[in-house]
Amino acid sequence: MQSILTINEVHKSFGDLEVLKGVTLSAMRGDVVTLIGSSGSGKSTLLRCINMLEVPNSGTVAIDGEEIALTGRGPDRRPSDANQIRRIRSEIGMVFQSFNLWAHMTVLENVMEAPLRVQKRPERDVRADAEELLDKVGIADKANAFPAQLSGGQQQRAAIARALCIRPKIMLFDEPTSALDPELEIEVLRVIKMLANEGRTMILVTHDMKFAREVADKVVFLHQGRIEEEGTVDAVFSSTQSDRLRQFLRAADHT
Amino acid sequence: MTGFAETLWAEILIFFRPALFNIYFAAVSLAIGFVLAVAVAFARNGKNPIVSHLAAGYIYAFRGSPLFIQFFMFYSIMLALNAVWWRPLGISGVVMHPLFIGPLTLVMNTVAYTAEILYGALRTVPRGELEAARAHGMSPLQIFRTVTWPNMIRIAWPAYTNEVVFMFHATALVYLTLPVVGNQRDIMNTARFLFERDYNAILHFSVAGLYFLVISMLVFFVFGRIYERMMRHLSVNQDRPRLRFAPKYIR
Repeated sequence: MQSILTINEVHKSFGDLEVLKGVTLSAMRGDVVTLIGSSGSGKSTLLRCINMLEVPNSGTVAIDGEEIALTGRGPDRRPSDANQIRRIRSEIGMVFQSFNLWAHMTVLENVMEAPLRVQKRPERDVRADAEELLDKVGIADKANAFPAQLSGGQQQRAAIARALCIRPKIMLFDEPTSALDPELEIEVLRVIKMLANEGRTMILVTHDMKFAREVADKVVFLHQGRIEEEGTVDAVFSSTQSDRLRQFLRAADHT
Repeated sequence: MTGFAETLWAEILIFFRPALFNIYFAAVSLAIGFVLAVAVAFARNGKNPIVSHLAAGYIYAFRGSPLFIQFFMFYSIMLALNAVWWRPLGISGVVMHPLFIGPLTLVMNTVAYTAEILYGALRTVPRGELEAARAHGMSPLQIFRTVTWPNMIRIAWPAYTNEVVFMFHATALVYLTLPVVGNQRDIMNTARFLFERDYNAILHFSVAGLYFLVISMLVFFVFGRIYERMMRHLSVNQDRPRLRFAPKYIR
């Protein structure tokens, strides 16, 4: 089976600070990969390198066997083919920590925008899709509400529906519940778990170890810009190899 | 008292046609100025340092000097060019006309102020919303349509409403600096003209001021309603309280 995501020797620096120091990672179709690590370990940056919201200083990223073409060196490195990067991005759904819904548009408009404008799909299809997805994440009754009229949990579920509506090959979640109160977190986690069980390919950055354990096929522990340990849930959580991960897990248990 | 009311009404009627000149100056310069200001704001916010500095310089020059002086300067420049350019080209009658130079000067001024307002708004467009648009594969033009423009215009609107009213008031300067052609007088010039006939400053200048007040009020009202409509996505009550037609007889 061919891997749907291949990250090869990715380095990324912000100024003098090297955040990623050569990360190589791959995911198979249907894999749920969770990225864990303390803040500053580079897990969010790694996630953002997948759809080139951050462009790696060196190294490559390939989606479904297609390498994203980059040009330039170091901090000036940019995607060289605007059409390719837009097409690839429109095949990757992304969910942000702070939802990032378009505030002036209703929930339904948010969900329909990219499929209509970017993928140029017919409106009737998109509307049917969008309504179905809103129903699936449990906010069908909020379709015509604006984001500001929703709770954080509802907003994040709207954002998940928006990402799903582009029919993504891969879903990226960047700490999707970190901005939520615990009681709102549950409803979002339930939706993500449901997606994981559907066999979707997902890469998920999270602080929530319990959740990482529940949904993951593969856990990746990042430490100071390097992959310190990776493997199945059992391998990483039960027969932990590295001291740093053991330390990290012990600290996480206490929070 | 009826005598006063009649005088006042007669005076109000006298100022109706002059008011159209002020409205013309303001409407034309605001319409053209807004479009150009969008371009200057984007130039100012752009990545190219030369273009950005040029835009900043332009904005500084026109915000940093009095409009009154801009009128005099621009008119003298146009006058100096009249003999060498406009007359030989046969366009002197159009180019030197206050109905042309007036809006032209006002446009240059309002472009600077509006561009500064829009530039400020542009810088506060929520980063997250822009990022979401990028992550969904939108092109720069689509990002502009979906995120940048709707946010920019909403952030800028209250300040731009002020600019519209200021610009309307600034039209009073046109005929203070430019020559009056025939019977083409604006509110301010008419007031001065009438004042010099009978020295009734209170009557003439109050009615002149009244026109500015009333038209400003209309602008505030219309722009306020537009703003309310633009910002309805932030109203937390989904169901607005409506007038009730169900009186409660029994409680």
